[in-house]
Amino acid sequence: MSEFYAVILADSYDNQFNHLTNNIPKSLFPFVDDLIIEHQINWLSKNEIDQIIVLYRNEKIAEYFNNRRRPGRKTQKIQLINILDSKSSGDALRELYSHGIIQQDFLLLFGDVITNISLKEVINKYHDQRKEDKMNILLMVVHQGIQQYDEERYLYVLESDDKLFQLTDLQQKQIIINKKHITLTKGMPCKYVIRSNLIESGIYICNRDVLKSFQEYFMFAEIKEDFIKYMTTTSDIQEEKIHLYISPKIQVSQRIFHAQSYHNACLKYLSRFFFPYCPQQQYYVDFFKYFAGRVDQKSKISDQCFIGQNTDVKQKVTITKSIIGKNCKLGIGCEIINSILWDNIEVDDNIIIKDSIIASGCKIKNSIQSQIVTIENQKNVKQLLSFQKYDDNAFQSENSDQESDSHELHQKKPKENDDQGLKEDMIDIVANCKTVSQVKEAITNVDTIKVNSNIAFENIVIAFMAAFLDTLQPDVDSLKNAYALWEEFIIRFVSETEVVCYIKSIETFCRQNQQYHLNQFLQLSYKHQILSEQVIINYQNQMATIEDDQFAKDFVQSSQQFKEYLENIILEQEQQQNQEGDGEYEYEYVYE
Amino acid sequence: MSTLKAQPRLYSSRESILTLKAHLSGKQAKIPKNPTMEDYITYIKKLSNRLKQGPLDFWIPNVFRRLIQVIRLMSSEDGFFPIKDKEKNFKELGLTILRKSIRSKTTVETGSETGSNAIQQDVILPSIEQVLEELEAHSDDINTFASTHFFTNEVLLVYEYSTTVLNFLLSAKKTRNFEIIVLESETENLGKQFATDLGKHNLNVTLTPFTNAYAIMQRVNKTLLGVDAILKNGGLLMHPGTYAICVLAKQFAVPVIVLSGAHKLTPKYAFDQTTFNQLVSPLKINPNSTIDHMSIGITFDYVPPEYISLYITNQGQYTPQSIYQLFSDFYNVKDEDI
Repeated sequence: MSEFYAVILADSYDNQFNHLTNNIPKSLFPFVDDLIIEHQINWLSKNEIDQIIVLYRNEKIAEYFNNRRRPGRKTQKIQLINILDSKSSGDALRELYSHGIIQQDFLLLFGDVITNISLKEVINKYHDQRKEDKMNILLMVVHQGIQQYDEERYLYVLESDDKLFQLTDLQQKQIIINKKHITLTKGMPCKYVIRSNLIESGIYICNRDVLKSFQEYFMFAEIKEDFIKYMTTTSDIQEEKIHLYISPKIQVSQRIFHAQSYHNACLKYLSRFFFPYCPQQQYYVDFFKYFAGRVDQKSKISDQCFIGQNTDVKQKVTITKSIIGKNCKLGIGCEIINSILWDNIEVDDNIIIKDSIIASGCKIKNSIQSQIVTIENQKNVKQLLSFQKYDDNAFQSENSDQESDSHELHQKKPKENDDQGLKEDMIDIVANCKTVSQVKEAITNVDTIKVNSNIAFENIVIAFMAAFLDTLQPDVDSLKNAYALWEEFIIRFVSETEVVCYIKSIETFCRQNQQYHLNQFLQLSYKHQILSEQVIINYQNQMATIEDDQFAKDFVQSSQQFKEYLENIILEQEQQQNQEGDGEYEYEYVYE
Repeated sequence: MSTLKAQPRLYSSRESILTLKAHLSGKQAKIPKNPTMEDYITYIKKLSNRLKQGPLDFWIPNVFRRLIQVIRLMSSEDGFFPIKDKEKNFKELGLTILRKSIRSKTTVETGSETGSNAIQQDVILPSIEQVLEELEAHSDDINTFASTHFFTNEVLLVYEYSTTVLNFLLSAKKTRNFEIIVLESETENLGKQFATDLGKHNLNVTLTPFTNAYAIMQRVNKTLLGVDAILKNGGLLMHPGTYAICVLAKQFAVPVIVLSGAHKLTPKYAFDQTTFNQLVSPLKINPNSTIDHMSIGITFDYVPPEYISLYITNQGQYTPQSIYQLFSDFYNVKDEDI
């Protein structure tokens, strides 16, 4: 097979991995233990195809191949062709045709295919069919299985000898089968077979005529949607035929369309679905766990996980169905669930990473966009925002060569002028809100301001209270209305650590304006569940201990009744708890 | 799935010997100018390493080990090696006569370092011929040995496809009547093929699924098995499912008889199911596997020697406790690291 070329379309023209593919093309994604394109080259060389042409759009592929040193018995001859100004795979094929390298047959491979299909029978079938009829130009390799993803849902209508009659997308609302040539007569075997358990594998064996027809029909952009559809729908005019090769059930392939199929393909690779292409046997520990790095005794790793080389996993780490790359460091008590971590990542202690893909070079510390969440068993866990599986926001791509070696995401203290800007913004927001729905919009506005400028909760509360208290009038009713209006906002931003500055701001306001009574503020806050009983009682006790303060004494006197009321409530609650018997059974969650 | 499953083992052994022959005659072998016996032996060892198809390939190294042993025997200074017991056939005697005749043709001492190329070829090529003969004629000897163990109107249990067992049954049918039950494996589909092959020759065959094994075992007189590899401690490596059958047979006191050619003797020791084993794709067992509901596929089943009653090879009949003697005759201890 000295003339048989393999053409790899090493880039995808869709936006599924948009944040990541801005930096690295999909073929250079790490897939468990090696890059995707290395897996493909390995597969091709095991099937005795040594001449490879890589069509690339991103300069990084050229750099990678220039620096590639892989020791091995066979050396592959790899040519690179630049398709920088192409917008679809059709353009790429036209570019390939113009180079004129390909004389006869070639194998077309998409850049995101992981497979273990054995090509010997495929090529034999192709050659047999070429001998029969020169018009058989394309052999599409499919494998049998359950169509899982939307991109795989197609209906295949086949004639005898696996000739493709029609290919329809199952996502349309109506499916129309070209009925012109189908005639059913009673008792005769039906000539057409409709199958929906086939999945295309992204491997095509084509003749040079395929490239020619792409050149002729300039509007062909995609292989499946345009070219194959055209050839099958106009089969009475054209004479070119397309056939299918259906691989036996052991041989499968998986394309990586989006994040879920990426994760699925990694797990399949670990579970040895692509036997004999598996991770190295020397790393195999137990049920499909592969440890190439150091794992501490006290950490729990579930089935189907991969720990890369030189990776350090500390104590009490829980890893479930995830893939960790090389040179990573995971701190004590982390939890990593259903995620893919690339290389050179440092994760601090007590961080949860869930359903994410984290690119190379990240350092994850305790204060990225985090909320402090306390759980019943008194463990403070800083939680990374957990994303939905298909969400576009699920990617954090911090490449180390963009920033200077490490990009640390700490919180910064806002400077003076930032503060001023915040206050003005807040005044605007408060002044404009009259109804509850507008308050909800205000919540989202302030949220975005906080996230964009990395402002602490405290500053927001202080700024808001300043603006809020300005709008009040010394009337009990206006206080009640104002609180009723802003209740949700205050509850959202005042949590246990901010109550101090909340009360402080009210106190300073009341000290300055004698018409307002601190007591009323506290009662309203309690009524709208902004403050709890204990907090108010603590504050009142604290005020009682302050000497030489007229304001404090007045306050203590006026709030005496309120204080007794609160204390009664607390007593009742305690009595109720005692009556319930032993109270709750506190479980400690025991890992096995 | 190819129908002839047991054949590839023999096939690969024979092919590798033939490639060695081609190398030597075509002078492709990288052997120094005046080669000694040791040079040839190291070359053969390197070739077996190269032809081996993975760490679980036993048959190619086995046949090369046998070849080296035959070469050593043929070129040893005293050409006489004792015939151990009556059951060893006259082939060995024929060998001694052949060797003596060769030696009488040559004038220079053989087995010494100054033998010329042609003389070495005279030793090596006949030994290659002998090994090839052994490989091809193994089933005849097995048939003669094994026919003494079966009586009329017996019920025999067989498991999946095995060429050795097939040959034996076809030859034994001429002299006596018996009934055969073919047990189908869960993972491969060759039981049906085996049953049809036997049925073509007018044998009384029944085909049952594997789940019926417990019920059937009570009515069976003997169990006949083919084998993939015989280990030095007397254990077996075979198609998955064999271990279950052997345990059942011991439970019901049914003797288990193993038929094999001597090219399947491997001088290795196994301790549990995972020593010589490898995980394969789950789709081989259950084509509907997904990641969450997966089957586990393995290549071999290891059966410890306690469950086997008798080994019948073309070199003789042995119990598992005494088959190590055959190893010391058949191979040389120096070559066990191939």
